[in-house]
Amino acid sequence: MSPLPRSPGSPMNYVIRRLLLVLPMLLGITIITYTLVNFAPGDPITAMIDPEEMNVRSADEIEALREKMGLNDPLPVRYALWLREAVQGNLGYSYHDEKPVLGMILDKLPASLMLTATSMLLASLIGCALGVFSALRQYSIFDHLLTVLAFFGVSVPGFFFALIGMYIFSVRLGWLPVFGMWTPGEPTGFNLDLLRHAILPVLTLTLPQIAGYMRYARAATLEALGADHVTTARAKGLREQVVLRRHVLRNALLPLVTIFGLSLPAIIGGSFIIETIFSWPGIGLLGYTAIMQRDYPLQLGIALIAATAVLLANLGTDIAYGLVDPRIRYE
Amino acid sequence: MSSATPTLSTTRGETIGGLAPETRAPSPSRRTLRRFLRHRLAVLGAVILVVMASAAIFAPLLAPYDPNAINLMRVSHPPDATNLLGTDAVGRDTLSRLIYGARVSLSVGLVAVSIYLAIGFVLGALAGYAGGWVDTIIMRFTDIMMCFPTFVLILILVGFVGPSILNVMLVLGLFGWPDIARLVRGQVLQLRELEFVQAAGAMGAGKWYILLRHIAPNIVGPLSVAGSLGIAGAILAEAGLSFLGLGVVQPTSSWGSMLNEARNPATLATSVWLWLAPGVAISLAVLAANFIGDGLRDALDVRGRRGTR
Amino acid sequence: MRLSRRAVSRRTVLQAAGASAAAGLLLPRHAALATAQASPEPVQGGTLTYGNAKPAENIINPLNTIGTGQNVLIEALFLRLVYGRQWGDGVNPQAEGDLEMAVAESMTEIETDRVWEFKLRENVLWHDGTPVTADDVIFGIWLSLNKNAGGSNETPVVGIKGAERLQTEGAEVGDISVEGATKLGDYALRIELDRPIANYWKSWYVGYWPMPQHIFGEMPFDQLFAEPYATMPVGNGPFKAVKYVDGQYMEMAANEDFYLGRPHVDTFIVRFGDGDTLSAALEAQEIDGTTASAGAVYDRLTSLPYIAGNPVPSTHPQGLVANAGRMPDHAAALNKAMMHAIDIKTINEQLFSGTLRPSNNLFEHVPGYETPPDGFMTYDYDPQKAMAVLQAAGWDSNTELEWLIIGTPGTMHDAMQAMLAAAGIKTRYAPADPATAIQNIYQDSNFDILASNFGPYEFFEYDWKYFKCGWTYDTGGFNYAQYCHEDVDALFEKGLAETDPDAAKATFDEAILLLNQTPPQATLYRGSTTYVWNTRVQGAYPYQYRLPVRPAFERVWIQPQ
Repeated sequence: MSPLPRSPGSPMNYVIRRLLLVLPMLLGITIITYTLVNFAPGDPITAMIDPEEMNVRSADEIEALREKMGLNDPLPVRYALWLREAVQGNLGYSYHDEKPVLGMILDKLPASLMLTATSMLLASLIGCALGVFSALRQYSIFDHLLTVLAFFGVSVPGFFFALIGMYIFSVRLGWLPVFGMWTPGEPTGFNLDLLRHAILPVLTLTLPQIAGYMRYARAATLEALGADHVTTARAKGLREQVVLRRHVLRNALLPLVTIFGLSLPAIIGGSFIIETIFSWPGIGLLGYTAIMQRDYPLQLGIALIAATAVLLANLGTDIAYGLVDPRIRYE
Repeated sequence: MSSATPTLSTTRGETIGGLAPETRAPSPSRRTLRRFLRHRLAVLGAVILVVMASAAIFAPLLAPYDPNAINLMRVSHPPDATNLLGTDAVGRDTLSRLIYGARVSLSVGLVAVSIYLAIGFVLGALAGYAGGWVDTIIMRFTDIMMCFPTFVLILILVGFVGPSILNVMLVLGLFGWPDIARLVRGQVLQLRELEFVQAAGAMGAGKWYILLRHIAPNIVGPLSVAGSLGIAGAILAEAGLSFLGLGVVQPTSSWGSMLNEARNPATLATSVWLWLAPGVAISLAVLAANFIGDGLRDALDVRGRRGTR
Repeated sequence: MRLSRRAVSRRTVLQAAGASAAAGLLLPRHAALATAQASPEPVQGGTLTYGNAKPAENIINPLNTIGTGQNVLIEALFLRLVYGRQWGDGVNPQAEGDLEMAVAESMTEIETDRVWEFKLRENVLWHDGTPVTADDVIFGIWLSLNKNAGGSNETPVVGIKGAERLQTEGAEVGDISVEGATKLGDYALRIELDRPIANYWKSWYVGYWPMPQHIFGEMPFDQLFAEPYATMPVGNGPFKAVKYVDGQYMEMAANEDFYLGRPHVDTFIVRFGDGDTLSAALEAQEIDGTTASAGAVYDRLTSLPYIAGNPVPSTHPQGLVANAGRMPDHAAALNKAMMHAIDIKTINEQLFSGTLRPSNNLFEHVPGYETPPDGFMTYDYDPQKAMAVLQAAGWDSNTELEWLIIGTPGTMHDAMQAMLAAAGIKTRYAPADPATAIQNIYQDSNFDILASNFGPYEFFEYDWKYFKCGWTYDTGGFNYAQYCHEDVDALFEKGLAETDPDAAKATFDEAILLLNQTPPQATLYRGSTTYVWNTRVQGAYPYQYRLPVRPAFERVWIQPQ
């Protein structure tokens, strides 16, 4: 999110203002999605009508339906009609499965959420810890080593970690399962078996993200260490521990909340590849299949949902940040 | 750079330190160069990329064989004197394919990044300089675009237009600009308040003249940082696209498509030569671009001073 | 004649083509058969885990087959009336191709290739314990044909009397009757075709799947393929559905009441994943069997002490085809030249470890036509000859042909492309995802050349679909290469109408020679499907898509470690 003009008044006003901005943004997201819909090869009517209905209708009937649905109208009108459907939860029907797109996406949401949320959390925790540590020991061997590792981490394609990880830990050592969410025949649900299956996908999704958090946390900590109030605090003779906790880390790490939301798009992108490799039945695998099968309504539904998720994540982190950061004054 | 492609610029153009362009130095460019050279990793990065680029340019001279020539009598052959890096599943020379692959991978990076730098620059400059509703519209649009997972959009669009080198370049180029636009807008906003720009305005110079003559040169620094990081990202994105079968079309080789040989545990374990060299090449190129970006950032002081000294 | 057109819906055709194309890429290396180590006494118990592509839809029903992922499940859960062939050595199909009776206990031919009477087994039960009766067989035929039922079926009931009406007009729920299927008793019925079809029961495509009338009989059509029966079907096969986890696996339990006896293993699990992941899982011993792609992968897996390979020959006549619609004057010459240009023997030895069977014969898989007639020309590898053929046809060697690729090109494509180039045939890959590619091929004929196969059909009616003048997709055919040879068509028409088998054979032989001289496809080889099994799996009856053989999953057993 771009920096918002700080709103006058209470935190509540800030939240409300922030929420109000979400609506035009959502609208923008739908406009872009709809533009893409129109780029897609194929007839939009087949995407919007229940295929069961399609089969039993004659060409004349379909033409009439097309007229009725306004598909012969100019683009803005068509957009409005599409939006009306979208708002009611009709993101169209999958070409391939002939099912409502929204339902298909929501079905896969929990599996994906588990991967993405865990790896975001892990990446930020590990990254911040390493970054802060690195900053506190600036120019030490540890610092240099981490810098090198960070460079290495961002220089290797994420899927490569997955392949190597699968080969070493699953095929060679047999410590972790190769693929899937549960061992067949064992109980499904949130259990130990699921966690074991999640380890490799989560780690390979996490690894490329760590470096970013680490570098950020390092820079922010260094900056905070040099800030005037830290010097003042030290001058006042406060214990180093207290200075670090109260003055350095608090100031350095709070802004990190905002990158949390910003890193979501990368994780969603990464999940397309990782879920495919590990046969993890989430939105990434669904999206990859949709792309391979030229299932345009499903692809665009996923893009729309993903963008909305990012928007909401940003909103959430912004609000959270706004509420916890003492430096934000509501004027 | 695109969100799908992790680079070290996690702040997506919004640097915490903000910008402090060097305006007092007598010879900024020379000092920048000196600082850049002092940054040993950056120099290393530059050397690596220059070597790779030369290999790409002089590929026909360097490659020992025709990269697409098959030899069914030497299939999946380990490295030896005849084929220094071994051969692939239909007996093509891995080294030759690697050298020719540099053309694709590097040019995908360069072209894609140039496209989105241009788009980002124009939009960002327009927003920053025109201000008002133009600014609002462009920046809201940028915000909205940043909500989309770039890699997903790239996948979808490549799906629409079909995979080819050109399409991959164009599509990658189409989606990287939002960060750049923000960066440029931020710079323009700061620069136009500076004295020399104000002075030029007072002397009657036109808006666009000022933008091009005074502001643009000052943005080159931050843009080159973003650009070199972007190249790293584009190379990785191409590898990802190739992995999903949406990259460059065979028989043309790209590092991404060569790395895909590691897809199967069988090749991963038994035919190391097939994927190790392209894997190292990708990592080196990305690493080099990152080093350069990092070095430039320090040299140009884009992110403010590096901690406390 | 019009064979059930609707039944072979657009998508099934498309998927079929995609699958056969994919099968062409999956070519094996000879290796020890899994049964070689089989000890004589099967052990009861254990779990068989097989890795397979994910079903395209979460509907496991033989009357709704889209894609290929669910076929292995259907084979384990359901049983047809009869099967086209029996297993030969227990792993590979019997060469002679005697029918295997399944739900039927015996059949009597009343009129050659047209009318049969069946006696059903009384001990084949639905998984809920209800016996499978003649009513269920007729109900299955009716459902398969009924337009209103909305099935999408790759193995339809074809050619039966009354099919046309059901396919065009449909019938309401409860109005169960098929002109050509007459109940003679609870366990007896007669099947009557419109006209004789040779090799009718030997084709994989002729599916007579009984359906449980006591469950679906009164059910509105829109609930036929809905839950709970979509993923928990009540079948009549050796295994019963226990648990289906979307995108993950299907767990099945041994059917205690299976008419051939209880299966050896207690549990049969089919796990879904992509090919590379599955081969990793096999290596990690997480699954017991799967198919592996040709070359390095298969070699690597079979080199492991605990994995055995089993290539099962397939019937598709594979090769390249030039689009006569685009190049009416040159297509036949190109087809000939391509056969001369490609060194299929070297490709076979170097890339596929000899598991291909090189052949220019389009009809090797049709029973009775395994050996071509006298005067049949073979097109041996000879690039000079290829160039001469092209020159004689006035081919401009600067032309770059657009080679439509389904998915991404494999080693076979790369090798062929280089060999074509060496013979002066320039090509450029145009890769497309399966859905687009298949539309480009079948509906739009939008390609110059293509790696194709002209169908593994065991009867000429279906084979004709690939080269009969104008028999394109919209009229139910597959003539995407837009081949047209009126003399061939005349002979086929005559041969199909012929009631005397010898006269029919003479007519078709004549047609085969004509097709040999002006080839509709550059037929090069037949491939194999490569199975890889953990050696603890004994009597591994491979499931092979499109082979008219029932995989005897009940006979597989697991060697205790």
